[in-house]
Amino acid sequence: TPLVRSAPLSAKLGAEVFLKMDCFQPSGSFKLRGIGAAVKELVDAGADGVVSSSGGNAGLATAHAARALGVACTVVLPTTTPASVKAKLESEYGAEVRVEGGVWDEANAAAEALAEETGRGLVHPFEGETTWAGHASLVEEVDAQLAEQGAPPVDAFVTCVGGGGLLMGILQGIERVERPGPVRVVAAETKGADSFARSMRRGRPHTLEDGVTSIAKSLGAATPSATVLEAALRYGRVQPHVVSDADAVRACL
Amino acid sequence: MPPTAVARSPLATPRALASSSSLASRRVQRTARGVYPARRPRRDVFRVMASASPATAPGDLISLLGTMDRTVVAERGALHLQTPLILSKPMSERFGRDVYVKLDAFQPSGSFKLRGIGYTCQKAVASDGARAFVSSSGGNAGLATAYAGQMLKIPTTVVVPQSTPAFIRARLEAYDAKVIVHGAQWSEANERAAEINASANGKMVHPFEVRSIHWSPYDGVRVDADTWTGHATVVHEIASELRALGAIRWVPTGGTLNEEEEEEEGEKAVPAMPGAFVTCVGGGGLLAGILQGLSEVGWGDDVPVIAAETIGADSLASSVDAGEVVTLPGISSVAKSLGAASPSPTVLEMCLKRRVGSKKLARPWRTTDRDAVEACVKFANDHRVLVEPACGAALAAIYSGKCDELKECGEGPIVVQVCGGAVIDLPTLAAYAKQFDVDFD
Repeated sequence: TPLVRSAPLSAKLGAEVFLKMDCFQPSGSFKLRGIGAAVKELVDAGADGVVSSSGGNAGLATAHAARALGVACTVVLPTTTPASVKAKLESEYGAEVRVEGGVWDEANAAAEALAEETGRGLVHPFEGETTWAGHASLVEEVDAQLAEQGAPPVDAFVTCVGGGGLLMGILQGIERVERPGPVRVVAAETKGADSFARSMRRGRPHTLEDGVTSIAKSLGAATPSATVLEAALRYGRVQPHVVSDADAVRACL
Repeated sequence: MPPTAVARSPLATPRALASSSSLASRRVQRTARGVYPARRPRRDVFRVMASASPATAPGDLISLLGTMDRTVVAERGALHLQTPLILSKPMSERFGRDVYVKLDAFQPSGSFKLRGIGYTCQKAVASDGARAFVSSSGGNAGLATAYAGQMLKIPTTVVVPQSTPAFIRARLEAYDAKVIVHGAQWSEANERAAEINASANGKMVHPFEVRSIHWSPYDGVRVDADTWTGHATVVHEIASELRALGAIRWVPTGGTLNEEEEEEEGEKAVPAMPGAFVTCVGGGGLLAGILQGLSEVGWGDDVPVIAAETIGADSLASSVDAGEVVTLPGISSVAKSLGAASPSPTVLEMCLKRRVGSKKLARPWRTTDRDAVEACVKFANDHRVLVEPACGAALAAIYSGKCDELKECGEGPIVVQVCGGAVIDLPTLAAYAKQFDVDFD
């Protein structure tokens, strides 16, 4: 995906700001990097289909990857899922959608059971070595693209954090590229979806007591990945950053 | 070796720099933040994003640079980016067959203009020793020029008429261009720009020779061919990407299909080329580039191009109808970026030549402001990308369902050039939607 120097943001920050436009991945988000790799691994191992429990970008990426590789995809979603999500997965991405359970955990349990009984691969939205390694590709791309554009290597990555899959990919990617100095990683969340920031502060996985109350539903992991949290603490230069929903929306505009 | 991402992917290539070598023995980059070992851009790659698109097949010699002079772009690569080509599922569903969109809205300067203008600027520096750039466009051509000047470290002046919005002036300045506001309309700004250009060549300037380039936003004063050669790269990229996506067949360059590869019984053959290209037309530079690119990849005799304009900015359609250059009395469409009162005579000639005979390979098509704006809104909702109404004219060919010119075209997928445009933002689109009574959802 394109790496574009943002003139307005560079002027605003007084530093060179580049945007890695993963919004232009065919499935609409970065998820396809890691999940594409995960689905391919499952198919190579003999799976004739995959299962997901995400009604969000992970589900879209799973369905996209499955279709591209010519295997079936079933997405199990809770009853609370809007009809438009179901319609999009079915009509645009060719997935089979099953509605089970009142909350995500129940749908996820049903997805696990389905994967078990059909022998199909279950694709987790953010956990998994292959998924993280797939996401890491973006760091290598950025490194090469900065060199092509005659820019110095990256000083800091800014990313948002949901369950932590993308963050883990970035940390792994940073390890793989040659760099002259430490790379800071700013891990942004919205208030009300800030399980990662709270976990970093406590030094252990923390579950949001009230659940996810932010509008940024795609950041909606009430508990971050324990493995990712540990990696972030060990890396030593991950800086959590929490913003308000209003600031996030303003930034989108 | 084809300059493709995966072939040169960093995943496959170990890092070139050995950590044990001393900085003194290698080129270094000195920046405000310190000294780094310099990583030389790969000579044969022009800012192709690593892993941006699947690999081209072995034996396919299509180069994404088309007929660009390699000595001009070799050192730092071309200024434009290879942009994503994606299958638009919503548009394909509406249209009833596969529609691919080439997302040139994602060029750094905001539109496809950077392809041609970037190349013209690089060539001006490399071949003519140009030391300054001057533009008279307060639109996408000006932005592309300013961006090119910033990237090539060449002082750039943009003369804009008073009607140019403040945010465009700010953006030009963000690209380090010097902005001069002069005149009530473009022709006056253009005259002033020509004066600046002339005086920069004159004796009153610094002793060593200063050359500068000035061009009209549509053709390029220097040589039309350079700008069109740059624009033509979009077709070369599309050809490569469609093949990599399996949307069209691989055909070895210079060869013909092996008989065994012909359609098997019961199986639908993958088409050899797109069914049609769709683009919007202002002065005709992009159209000329696309026609040139189609010839260069071998599709010039078969693939029709639908050239969309809005009524009120339909100088090309009117000229084709008349068989000669027609100058509109004014531009009454909101699609200001299509606002050439008359098309380039050379481009008109190219179109008329391609309408002789039954195939009609150049097909002007008119749409309304309302349909163009509605297409912008639908495209934004379908793909989360914001484009100008000018670009909406091309998208309307699919979204409005009213493009008869698309009825007779080949079997292959439709490709829409999403030229983009930076002179748009959410409030402006919302205002247009209100003006034309278009639902925002």
